[in-house]
Amino acid sequence: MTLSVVPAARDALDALAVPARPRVDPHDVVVPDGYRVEVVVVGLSFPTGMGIAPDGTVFLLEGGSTWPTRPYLPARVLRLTPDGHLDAIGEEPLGGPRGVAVHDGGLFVSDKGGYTSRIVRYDLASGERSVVVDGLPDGGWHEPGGPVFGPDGLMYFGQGSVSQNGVVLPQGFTVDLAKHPHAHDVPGQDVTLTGNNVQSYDPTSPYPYYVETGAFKPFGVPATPGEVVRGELKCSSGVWRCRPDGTGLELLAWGVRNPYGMAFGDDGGLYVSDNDYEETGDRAIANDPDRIWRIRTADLPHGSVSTPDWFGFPDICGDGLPVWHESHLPRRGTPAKPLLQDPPPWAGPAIYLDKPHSCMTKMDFCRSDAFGHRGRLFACEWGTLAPINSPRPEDPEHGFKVVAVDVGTGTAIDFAHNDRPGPASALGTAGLERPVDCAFSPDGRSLYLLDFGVARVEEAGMFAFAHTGVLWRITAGESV
Amino acid sequence: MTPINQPLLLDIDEQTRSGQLDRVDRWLATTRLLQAGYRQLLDDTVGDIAEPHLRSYLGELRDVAREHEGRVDDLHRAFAREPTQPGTVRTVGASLLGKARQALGHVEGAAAGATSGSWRKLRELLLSNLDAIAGYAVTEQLGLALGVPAVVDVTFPVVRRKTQDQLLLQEYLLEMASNAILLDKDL
Repeated sequence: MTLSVVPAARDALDALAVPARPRVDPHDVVVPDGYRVEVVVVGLSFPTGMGIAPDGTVFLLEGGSTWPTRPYLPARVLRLTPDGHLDAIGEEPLGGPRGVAVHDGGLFVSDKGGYTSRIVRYDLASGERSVVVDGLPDGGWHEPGGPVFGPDGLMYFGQGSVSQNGVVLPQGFTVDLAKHPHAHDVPGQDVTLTGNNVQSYDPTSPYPYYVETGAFKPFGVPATPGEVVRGELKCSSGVWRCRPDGTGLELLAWGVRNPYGMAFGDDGGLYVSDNDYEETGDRAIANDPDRIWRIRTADLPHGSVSTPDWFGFPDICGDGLPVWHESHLPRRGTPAKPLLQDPPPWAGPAIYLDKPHSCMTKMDFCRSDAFGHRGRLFACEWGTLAPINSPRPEDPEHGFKVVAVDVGTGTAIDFAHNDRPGPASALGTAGLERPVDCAFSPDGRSLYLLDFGVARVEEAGMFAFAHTGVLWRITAGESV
Repeated sequence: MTPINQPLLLDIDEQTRSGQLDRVDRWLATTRLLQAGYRQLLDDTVGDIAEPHLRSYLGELRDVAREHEGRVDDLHRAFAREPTQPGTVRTVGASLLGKARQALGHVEGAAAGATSGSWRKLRELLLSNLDAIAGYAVTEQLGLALGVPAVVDVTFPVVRRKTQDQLLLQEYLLEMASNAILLDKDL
């Protein structure tokens, strides 16, 4: 796999060949005094995650089919060595990689694609690739999360929900129905359904055929009141751990809608980011905050979790209120009804809530006094998809930044952002577009910030432009 | 740990881009050919239709098809390339494509028992427009893959309108199928 990699003079960043992102300029990224912002790599296509080895090598993932799912570009696993050599060590199948971690001579990559997600391992010495976990239910909207490695040496990872809002519906059907018509959510515990099916039109039918769809069912399949759906170890909206070879798989939690970001704190706790419901369509839910959960079952000894914690999907919002609560009634779309009879106890509250549609993604704890903010959880906010997923005029400004969260107080400061809310392409600046991952260098002085690039959102659709991804680096002790 | 002291450009250097844009030029030539073939079929069909509503609808589609054909020049410019000049090869190519489709439609239609020439042309219009939709929709993917928003600004409304037109063609093809096949009536 040959890459075309060219070192660029600084002025080249003012006249890039990609019209969607013709300039990148560290001066347009606002950070606190005492930090220096640099551009490391420009031209990445739909980057989704990164991991850093102890020697400072940065592994970058180009996501392949991402958000939206077209166009597809090669789902490459890239390696950037400390001396600045960039190459590709692998290419994942259609769907693509979403997260990566380095552990004990292996590179562990979470992959989406087809009806399932998986974790694969590259042996960094031989390049050999093997699948260590497979069969996580997907084929829908949300992502595999992690992997990350805990202080116990175990691998922790997640898998988001198949449906957007608890039932497979036709909104944005190119992601699921067109390619995976049989996809559906799977609970992590036995659940009894209310039978509150959702009515919608079938966009795949020659006529606008009216269908009813139930929770944990493929599109067009209704549930019956009182129906019991068995929980499965490999569920959707789940968080697991296992040994690095995939054995000893244990479900820690479920009901986490999109556990894309995962990180361990100095307290040994596992923290997971999660995204809010959409205010659109036939089960519309408004004003659901983005959030970070602490997965308390991760504190228990491996193999001892008999009942996973439940964090609310598909019936509870991030604030602990049911999706049919008056504060979550939508301005557009059909209000949601309960899907679960006698749901499990809610494992909240969240340790941090952010604005709806901030789209919190990956994150890392600062463990260094050299960088400052030691103990803070640095979390990326990819940014809103409004007006597609929200009609509210304030929502298009949410996200597009990196926040530093105090997990003790549940508060945060904006750490890296543009001078105004929104992506650079909308503001006419050369700063941040959509931060998707951040990770600290092994020496603790620098925060690498992976920027997905330009994804333009309009009422009529969403368009993501390849070759607009950027790897930034923010280093302490040096002013711009 | 700050040895990386110069930004790296990945796959966006001049040489890489130029080679990819050359390939885009070739695809745009295909798109133009597909759309011109569709427009040519409309030109050849509208006058033969006796049914007044259908003739009116197809006349409108022909006008729109001409406009969409012209947007291929805009796509070249969006990719920062000069439009290809109209020439004999292009014109003849579109004409040949249109005639080939008509011939195919004649054979397939006759095999199905339909002697109605206009209904068979309607069927060929359906296939031809589908091909042309793909031309623009694929171009849109190339615009996204090369990071060129101006391409999407052209293609998205074209694909949307042509998709609507496809529904219209399909509905009339199906609506008139019984007349054409069972009763051997022309449109």
